[in-house]
Amino acid sequence: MQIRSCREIDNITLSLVDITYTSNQQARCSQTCYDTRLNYHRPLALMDWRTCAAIFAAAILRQSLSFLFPSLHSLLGQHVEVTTTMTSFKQMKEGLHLYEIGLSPYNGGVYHQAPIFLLLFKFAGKFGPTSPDSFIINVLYTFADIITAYFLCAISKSPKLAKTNQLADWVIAALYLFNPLVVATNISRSTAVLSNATMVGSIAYACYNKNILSVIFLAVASHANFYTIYLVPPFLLLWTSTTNTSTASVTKYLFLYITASAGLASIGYFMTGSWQYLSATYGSLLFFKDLVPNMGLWWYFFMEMFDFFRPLFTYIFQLYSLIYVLPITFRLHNYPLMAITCIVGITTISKSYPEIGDLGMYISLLSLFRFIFPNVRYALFAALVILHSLVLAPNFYHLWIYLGSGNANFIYAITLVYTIGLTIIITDTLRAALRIEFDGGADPSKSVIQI
Amino acid sequence: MAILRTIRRQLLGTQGARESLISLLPGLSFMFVLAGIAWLFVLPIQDQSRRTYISENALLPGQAHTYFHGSEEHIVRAFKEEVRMLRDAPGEERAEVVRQWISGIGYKSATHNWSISHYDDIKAGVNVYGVLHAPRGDTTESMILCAPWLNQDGELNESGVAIAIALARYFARWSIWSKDIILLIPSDSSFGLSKWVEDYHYTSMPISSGSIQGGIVLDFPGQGGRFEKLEILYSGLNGQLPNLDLINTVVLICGHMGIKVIVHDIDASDDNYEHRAKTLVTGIAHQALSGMYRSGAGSEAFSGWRIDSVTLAAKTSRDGYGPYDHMLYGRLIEASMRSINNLLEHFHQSFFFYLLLSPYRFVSIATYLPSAMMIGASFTIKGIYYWMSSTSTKSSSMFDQAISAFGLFTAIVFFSVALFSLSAWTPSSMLATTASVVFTVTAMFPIIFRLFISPKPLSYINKLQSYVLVFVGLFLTTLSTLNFSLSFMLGLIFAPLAHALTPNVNSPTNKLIERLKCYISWIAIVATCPWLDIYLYYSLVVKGLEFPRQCSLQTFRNFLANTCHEEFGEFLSGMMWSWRALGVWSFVPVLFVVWLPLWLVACVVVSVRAVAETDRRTPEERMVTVIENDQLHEDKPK
Repeated sequence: MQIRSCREIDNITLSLVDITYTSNQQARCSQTCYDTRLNYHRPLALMDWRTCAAIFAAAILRQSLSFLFPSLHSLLGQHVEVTTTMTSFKQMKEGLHLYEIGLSPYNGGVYHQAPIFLLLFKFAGKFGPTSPDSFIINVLYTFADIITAYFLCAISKSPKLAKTNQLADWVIAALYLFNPLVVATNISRSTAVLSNATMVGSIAYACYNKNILSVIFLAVASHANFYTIYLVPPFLLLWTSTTNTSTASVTKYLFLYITASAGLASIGYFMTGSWQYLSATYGSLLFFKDLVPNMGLWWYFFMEMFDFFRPLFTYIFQLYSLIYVLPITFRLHNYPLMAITCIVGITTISKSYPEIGDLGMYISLLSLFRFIFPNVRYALFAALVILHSLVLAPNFYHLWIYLGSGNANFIYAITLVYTIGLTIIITDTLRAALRIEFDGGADPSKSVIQI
Repeated sequence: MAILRTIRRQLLGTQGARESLISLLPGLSFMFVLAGIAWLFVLPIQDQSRRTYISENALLPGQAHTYFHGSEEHIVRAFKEEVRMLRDAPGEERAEVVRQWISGIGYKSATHNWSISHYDDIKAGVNVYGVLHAPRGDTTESMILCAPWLNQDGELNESGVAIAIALARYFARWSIWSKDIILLIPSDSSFGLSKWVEDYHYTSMPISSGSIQGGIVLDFPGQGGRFEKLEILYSGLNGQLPNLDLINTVVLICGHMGIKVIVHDIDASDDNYEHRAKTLVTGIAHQALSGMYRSGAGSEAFSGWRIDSVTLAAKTSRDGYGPYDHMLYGRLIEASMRSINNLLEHFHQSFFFYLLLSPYRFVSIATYLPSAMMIGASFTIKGIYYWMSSTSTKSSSMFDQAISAFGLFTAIVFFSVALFSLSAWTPSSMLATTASVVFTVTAMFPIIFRLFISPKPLSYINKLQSYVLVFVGLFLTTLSTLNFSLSFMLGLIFAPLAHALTPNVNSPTNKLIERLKCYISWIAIVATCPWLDIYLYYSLVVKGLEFPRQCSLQTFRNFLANTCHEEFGEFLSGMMWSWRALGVWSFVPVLFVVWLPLWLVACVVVSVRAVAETDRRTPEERMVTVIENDQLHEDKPK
């Protein structure tokens, strides 16, 4: 018993770690990992038939939902949990109309999204009408989801993660594509679908050392969704991880990012002819000008508070969402991808206009870290908390707004529960990751309590 | 954390703490069910409930002097005579005559033709309504004075309609109204009224008014004009209730006028525990089943539209005599309308979630909600138990099992939803036949499962149970915030399916107890079969038949023969109509989407043979794992 080869120990550790996985799939997974190292420049070639089937089924699902329930778009589009004023397709249409008749889209005070969406949808409009259930919009959104799933699979097989035991590609793709939160966000035609696709794209390119593309994608993502800017510090780690980290290369990528962002910002200037759009988009996001209920923590505070306190608490709330970025980047400097995921999770809690699609994105990013699953302790508990809050939130909103028998406190209480659920997930996964960094994840107590 | 660890060690011991925690869960879950039921019977205790009070100061109930008496009585009598003459007139003609009356007393008037159809089953009628624009208002708000031509029992609402029109005539002379008055005479108290409310909000009607703030529905059948007591009917559809302030206002005015007032047809003149408990339980039954198969009292048609309304039903004694006359009833309506007229904003002050124990006592949501929540939570806890007990064995095929159990669960849910759409598409005349086919097929399901589903590992069965129990727990806790009563009742019905089931494992030990458990499981399955329960509800409660005391074939045959096939079909089609036309989602869809899947899963659990799990690893492997575990523990950097 004393003499055991390293190989044996490895196997045993694997079987210990592996609670929810068949040995059959392990073999397949390690096979793909092996393939990845051989030719990671051609990730597309690596899609096996299961992944393709998942993607195909997801496309069918989205098309058939759109076809069978045409009213679902507007129904979900009105739900405050699913879309916010920062991502609503209805308001995008309003802005697009103003833009097409030659007025500034930001004049009406309705449109708060980035000007790049106007260009995109104006371009899409050349191929057909841009209503939520029209063919071209359907194709665009389905494509955005599929490309996101593809990027996620590519990240999972990238050299940065391939050393670890990963979930199979089709599982990762299916976890994203069939996640009800993601499907609902897609059907509601929230523009967050598009900004999420660019964000995941920038991660994927960074993982394959295509840094310039990655910088550009990140600039687009943060142009479309401001909070993506928080991902710049961990991204600097990713970009400079292959080169020896020097001030010069950091400056280089930072400079590139700022130039790209400035370029995108100037598009808005040339489109509308003034810098007014900055206050309509980022201004209303940062200063929380549109007081509408959502799944976040902001609206209730700002609804209750006296007006003269607003600036102070705006700064505090924004600072709160920012303050985690650097500590997490420093602490997880060995795992930049984990740092990115954590920051995405924390922003989901602390951003001013969160929506459930953010949670869907966060869960999908978490699914890339197969190796931390055995150390996650409260998965069932967190899942139940989130599940209950997600069912109760529309219910309480209905009681408040439509039936008039509830009030704002109902849904606010539920957003608090939702936040608690998110917090449990974030702390739990972060703890699991740090544990793995500390001693490889052999947790003797994990067989004791695993709720 | 160290302290917590010590406490944990003290409580559960170092060995198998997880197992001992898990083994506590079923007991805890069962305790929750018992506690939920017990809590309901704590509520009627004197100190647990509160006296009702008027929360909205603007209402000023009973403060204004009422003048509906004296010579107005001649008008009421005259209208009553006219209404009686129209008793047998066809709908169109009757509506036109009534419309002329309404326009004669100075209201803008119109008729509203409605019809709803499902294949060849058509329901249609003509409503009449009139609007008096408020002398002091700007037509943005209105209140409803409604007297259905036929009341909920299908009787001619003779005094009710006459008093409503006489009152409307009398109101037109006053200049105090700050809200428009809508006088509404729908052709019946159920579909006609709810169709009118729907069309008022969705389509453009020939004459219209502002948003409706409140309404009073008059229900006073019979020609005698005397009544013994006043019943307030307030249950809305889908668990909706009107604001408690409206009920309090009416009760307070009744108190001023010396009218005896009751709720849920229970005479609670002496305020004791028994009467309060009876009122509570009847109220729960009414709320859960409101609008389900029989026509409602009228006020429930306004629920869901932000309109608070009550039906004031005058109850005559058997000989048609009572201490109060119809003019007092009219003054009660007058005073109530004056109070609604006083409102400065929509009813919002008082409670929307309450259970009445008597007209003067209520329990608020914070006090009664734990009852349904505990029952809902018991399902979730049991689900967690099944999940955790099935993952504790470290077999490698766990992931596949979880996925395939989930697949079976989804398939069962889809099957139920498909059955639901089938029943929604079935013509009303075919419903009875379809139902009997479905009954028979469902009864065969346990056998089909037994024959066609191969034996499954125990952990697979547990996974399946955990999915469905978490699903039901989630549903019940959510439902309890919308419709407490229904959630509570369903929780009670479902409870045996969470606690009395034993998977069908062939193990040689303890034969007698095993067999007993098996019988209990089957009894639970039969007792909670949705079709059987509906049938029993129909025969025992709706038809009022007595369940055979003696268990012989003959008595059962008599019992079955007593419930006529066509009548039962009518009952079923009434339930379908309540969902189709009134939007009562809280029964028929719930039956198919929640109850049926739960029951089918229970059938699978009991009928499919389960294979007890064995640890497939060889002893050497297990030993190696244990050593490895210890080693890793020691290797940890200090």
